[in-house]
Amino acid sequence: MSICEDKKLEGLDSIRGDFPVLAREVDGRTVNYLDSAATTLKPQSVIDAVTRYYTEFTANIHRGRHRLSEEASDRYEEARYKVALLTNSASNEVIFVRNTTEAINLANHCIGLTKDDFVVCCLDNHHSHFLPWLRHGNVVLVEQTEEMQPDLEHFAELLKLKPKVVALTHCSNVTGNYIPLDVMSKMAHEAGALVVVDAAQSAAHRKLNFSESYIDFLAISSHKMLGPSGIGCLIGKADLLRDGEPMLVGGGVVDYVTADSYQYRKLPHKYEAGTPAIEASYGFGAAIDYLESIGFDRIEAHEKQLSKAFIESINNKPNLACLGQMSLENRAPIFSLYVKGVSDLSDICRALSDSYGVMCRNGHLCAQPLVDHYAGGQVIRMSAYIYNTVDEIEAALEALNSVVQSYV
Amino acid sequence: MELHSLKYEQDERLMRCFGNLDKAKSEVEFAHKKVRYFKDSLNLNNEFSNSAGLNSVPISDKSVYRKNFPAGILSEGSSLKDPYVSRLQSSGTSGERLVSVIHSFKLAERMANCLSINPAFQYLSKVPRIKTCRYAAPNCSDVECANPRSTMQDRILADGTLVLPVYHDLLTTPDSMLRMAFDELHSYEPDLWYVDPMHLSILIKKAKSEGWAFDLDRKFSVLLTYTFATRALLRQISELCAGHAPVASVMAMSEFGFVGLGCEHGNLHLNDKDYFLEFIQMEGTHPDDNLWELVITSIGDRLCPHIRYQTNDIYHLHGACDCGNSMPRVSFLGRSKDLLRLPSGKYITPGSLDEVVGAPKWIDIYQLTEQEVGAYIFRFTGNKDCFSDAEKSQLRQKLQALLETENVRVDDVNYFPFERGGKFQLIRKS
Ligand SMILES: Cc1ncc(COP(=O)(O)O)c(C=O)c1O
Ligand SMILES: [Zn+2]
Repeated sequence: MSICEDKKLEGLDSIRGDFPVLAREVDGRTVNYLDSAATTLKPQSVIDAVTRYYTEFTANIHRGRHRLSEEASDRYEEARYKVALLTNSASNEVIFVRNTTEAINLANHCIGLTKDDFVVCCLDNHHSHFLPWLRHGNVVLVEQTEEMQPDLEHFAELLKLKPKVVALTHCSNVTGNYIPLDVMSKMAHEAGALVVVDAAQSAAHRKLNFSESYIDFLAISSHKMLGPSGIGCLIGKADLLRDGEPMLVGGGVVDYVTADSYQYRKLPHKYEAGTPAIEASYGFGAAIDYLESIGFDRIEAHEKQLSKAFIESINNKPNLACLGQMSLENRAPIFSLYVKGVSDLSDICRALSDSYGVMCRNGHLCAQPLVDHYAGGQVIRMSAYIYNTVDEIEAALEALNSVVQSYV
Repeated sequence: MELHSLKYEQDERLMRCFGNLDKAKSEVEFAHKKVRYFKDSLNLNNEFSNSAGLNSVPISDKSVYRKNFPAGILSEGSSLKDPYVSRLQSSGTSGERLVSVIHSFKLAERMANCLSINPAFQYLSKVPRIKTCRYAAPNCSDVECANPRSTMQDRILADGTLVLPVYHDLLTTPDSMLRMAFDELHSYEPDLWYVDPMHLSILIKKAKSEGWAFDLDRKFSVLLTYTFATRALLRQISELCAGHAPVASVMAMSEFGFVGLGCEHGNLHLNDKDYFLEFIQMEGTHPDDNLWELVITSIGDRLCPHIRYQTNDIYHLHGACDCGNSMPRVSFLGRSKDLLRLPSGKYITPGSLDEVVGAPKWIDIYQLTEQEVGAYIFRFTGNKDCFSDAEKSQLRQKLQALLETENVRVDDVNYFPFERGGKFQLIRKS
């Protein structure tokens, strides 16, 4: 792996070898993976943990007392403990679901809304954190400032409507910006609203602290945190979860059943009907171990370098414009670009992939209200993570710049 | 006290033994005659009859007793239907799982001999029917005490022990259940609180924050068991009990019942009357490290004799104790699976960790996690108003020295996971 000596990965230079996909060549070219906001690459330890379920433990969990089942269950619960420690929550507050989308739908179900209930959403909410509220509640949107941050004065005005829910996105998957989460969740909490936070993009970049926050429900996806797809979590305050009604019922959620009644099991099992993605939970546990051993301090330091490389490269390419703040503060290395005068970016994205090995994404990024509002069409999103280098970012933007020359 | 060395295949390890060797050998002979597994596997040759001969008997372990349960390890003519046979289940789920059976009289005898170690507890031997409240991991009992809808009646065992309600993952136990445990601990009027120190500390903390007052005027005593009693836990328990109720740590195992007790000086003594105790120097250690693995042979167990049974528990051995009791004085350092081995070869035990952490006011519970070799996270919880950054960084330096690495993160947290069986690991490996 060639990593330029003078642009060291803040001590992360050795980790690229942990990610098998980075060794892959497409048409003789190495992969420049800049789509981590869609899903991150997986280190070998995660892949091994998933495989171990099939080679060593295969058995259903929480169903009976035989040795394989007990061992399989121990490891499944171990993954839950790891999520709890990572997010500073308690294990019974961690509900395993398939992904962030399901987590938010479950929170929505647990809360139970009518069309008369106001829900405050932000313009940059992902469709997953917008449609469930739109479907069942009365959504009002917080205006944004020129810096594309939520306008806190307007937010305070909306809170006077006594919304039942405030639906916040910790880090935007479009702009990479973090909102002032502590301030906003405190304001919402004080206004009597339940605070539901989409942390799909932030969980792999920043340390979350659920128990010392005003957040009532927090949603994350393993696949955006180095882990396998098929598993994510709804983390919810125990009291709310105890009162809530599960979305699915069936095997595993009850203590006993008679012909005409049933009694739910305690948290978190009440919410986990049916056989879950057991192997994915093992991989998720391994991913958390991987994140913990790198540490969020190093991750943030490295990401700052990547963001700096983005900003400097974009600044000297007049055809490219960036959606959102071009500042280093409060951001993840996620950059959405639009090309003045070019609305369909599919061809450009294809060319980046096939001629340069740059894997990135174009479209509305499941945040159409926002992207339409600012870009008036599609954007190209490049998102980097711990295994990316400054060289890769510079190369990707050079590539984009030269592809674009043929379109403007 | 005998001191002799035992030859192993590779290296020579020291061994120290306590108890009556002749009785231990009779136990082996009994097992050889009456217990199918030992009948089939033991070969009592000439070597056995000379004085060091116990060494020729292979060491047994949990898996022997697990795999041969019940017919292979019960003595001929005994039956599980006997009303005096108690069935005890270990809390482990995988390599730890085990069902043990003990004759009630044997249990009582072992308990009485252990209680004799500490004068403050001796009166219990004379109480005709000790009323006990147990507050520990749910798997340690056969009743569903983790079921929030269970009643007190559901949780009273045949011997009159009331098992207090609690969840496996202790810190997720809801407030209503903590209140129930607190109330029952009083209304049942127990002579003995037989508790996991971690569980009791959580209840003490809750009671303090809610203003629930313990009734300390009734006569009762407190035995601590199940998890390692850290100095921080002992500090919290002694704040409540000092001057009111005697507190001691008891070494108990589901395979045997009582094995030892803390004396009036707070030193643990192991019972060498009901057991023959062999301490084997831990592999790869120097005698000065004073790290010994305990192997137990039961004495006079006619139901299910244990022969050179590996406990997987690690101890320090000490000299005579000021209390004057002649049973060997030891300190319990943890289970062998809870040890870490540093790249230098040094072992870190829960005991050695606890010595470094101590019992500052601001630590109630802590846990060390080895993320990978050479990388550690120390998590703690306690009174957040009571510590300064300087104290925190001092502790970090001490941990760095203990763990021989710079890579130690110290986090203050609100939650700690317990094993699915309900045990707490002071040292975890990721
Ligand atoms: C901010 C945000 N929320 C929610 C989601 C949905 O995540 P998932 O597809 O894992 O449910 C995504 C994924 O793109 C996202 O970026
Ligand atoms: Zn003593």
